[in-house]
Amino acid sequence: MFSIRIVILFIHVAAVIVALGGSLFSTFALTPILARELEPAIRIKVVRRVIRTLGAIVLSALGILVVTGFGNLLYYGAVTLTLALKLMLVVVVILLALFQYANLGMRIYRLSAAGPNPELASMLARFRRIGIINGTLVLAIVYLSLTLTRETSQVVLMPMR
Amino acid sequence: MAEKSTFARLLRWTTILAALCGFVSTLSFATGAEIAIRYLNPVFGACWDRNEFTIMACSASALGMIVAIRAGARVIEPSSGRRAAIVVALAVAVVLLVPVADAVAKLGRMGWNADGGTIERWLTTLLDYEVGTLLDKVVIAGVYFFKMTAFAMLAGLGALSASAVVCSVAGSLRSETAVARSSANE
Repeated sequence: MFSIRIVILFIHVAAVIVALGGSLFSTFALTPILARELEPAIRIKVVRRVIRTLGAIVLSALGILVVTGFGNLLYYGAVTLTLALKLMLVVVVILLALFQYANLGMRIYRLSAAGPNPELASMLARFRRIGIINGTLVLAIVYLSLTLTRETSQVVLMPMR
Repeated sequence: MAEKSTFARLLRWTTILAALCGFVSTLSFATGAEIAIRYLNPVFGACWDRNEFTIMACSASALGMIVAIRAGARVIEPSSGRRAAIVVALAVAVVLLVPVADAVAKLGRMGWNADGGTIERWLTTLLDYEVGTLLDKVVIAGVYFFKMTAFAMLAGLGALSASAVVCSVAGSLRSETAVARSSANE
């Protein structure tokens, strides 16, 4: 029942849930509600805090995903075309997340320190767009991962020796 | 400005050093060059023979992680602790170098490894048999090295993500402390 392989897989899946769930909740639930319910000055205060905290959560989850991903790969024992595609998408997702939170997010955080600013609207829209793109890519990665574990006739380039 | 360029130069030279170590050890591993080294200096040759694979794996890991950290850092906002994030990520990479090298050495053995008849046949037809066979071994070792580097790049990106979080948290703690101090002074 308890094995290192299952524990690693559990942490891996939990990290995906945290990263993807947090991003989707922020993009589709929190941001529209804040836009409707709060005054611009207060909304900006909340949004900049959310971006900072969510950035820490998502980037930490990505770090954990890489570590546990290595463990999973060692247990999986083969490199397939699906896996290669998944790993390429992972690189894109990490780079996009770094840009979203460590570049755009930080600029929004700094710019919004003095309250509402006309430049913020376009930056927040861009932040949201990148979030949606990244969320879609993560969903594609989840689909590829399910294919890896369920596919019986996958193209194994060469098994581990 | 001068300090910044020194840091950039150090990063560039570390990358070149890792690539050079990887190139030499991979070439030696593929061609069995340790015999020539043993002929010249038996003690060093024996030591090189024992460690050339480890040097190759560590070089591939270091190269992959440094390249990923440098490439990933380009998307981080310069004024939001990019340099600190690189330094922390490099420290993490140094700490994790041996475990990552061990993991990528195992992962590199999976999948396509150029160890097929097609490349060997093509090389022995193009050149003569001995040179073709030798080059085939170099290609196999080269592909293995590149695969290890590619897997290590993922580790480098993971290290950079974690270090970006650490720097962001440290930065926010610093700014909050500064705000608290300034309000206390007022």
